[in-house]
Amino acid sequence: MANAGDKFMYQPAHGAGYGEAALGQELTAEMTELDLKPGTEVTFLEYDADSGWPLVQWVDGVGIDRITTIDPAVFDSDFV
Amino acid sequence: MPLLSAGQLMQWAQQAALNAVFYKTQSPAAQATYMAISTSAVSGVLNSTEVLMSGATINEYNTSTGYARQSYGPVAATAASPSLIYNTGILTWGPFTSAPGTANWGIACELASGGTAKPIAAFLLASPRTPSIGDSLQAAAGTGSAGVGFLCQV
Repeated sequence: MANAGDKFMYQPAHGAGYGEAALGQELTAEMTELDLKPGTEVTFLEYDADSGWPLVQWVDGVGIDRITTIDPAVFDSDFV
Repeated sequence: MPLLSAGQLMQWAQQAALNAVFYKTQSPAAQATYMAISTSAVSGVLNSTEVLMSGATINEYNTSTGYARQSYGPVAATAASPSLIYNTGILTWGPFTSAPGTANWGIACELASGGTAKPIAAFLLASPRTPSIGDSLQAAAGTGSAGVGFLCQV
């Protein structure tokens, strides 16, 4: 169980961005810039009050603060 | 980036505002607020009497898509009449790991997640957006001008 404020790094074995991996192919340049890329540090916020899935905060490639809900299995395997 | 209409206060916020300015009750303490995305049809569905984000007419994006509410981050209400409040930064949802449906509304609320959050105001998007898998969805920062960002006025 993660606690609010815990830091993790997105480090998937496949080496693809979070959205890119979901799509299974390269994203457009615009969407690649906004993707959660390998090597990005995320901060755990909370478990979603309804689904229990983890919410993480991170900063994208254009400097915008983001909050994304992460699949629990992916969170366990790819966020270290 | 979609242009957005002026926001309409939902029932809970209307009550909170009136009770505060007429000194009936203490205003809620300062805290963060969040912007949710709703797939409710642009007319005839979303009901301003909803007092919880779990309400039947809210139809928020599902978090299993990678979606999460974003920090709204508004300015302090402007010293003008009508007074305005709007987001100061670009808001970006996603990246989506499954197709979340068509976004028609932004709904400001007072918790980062969960159906027990109180809806504050609803903002009709100027045009619907349907993000695909891998996409992120962006909304413009407000400027105080009508139609730019999530702007609410009393």
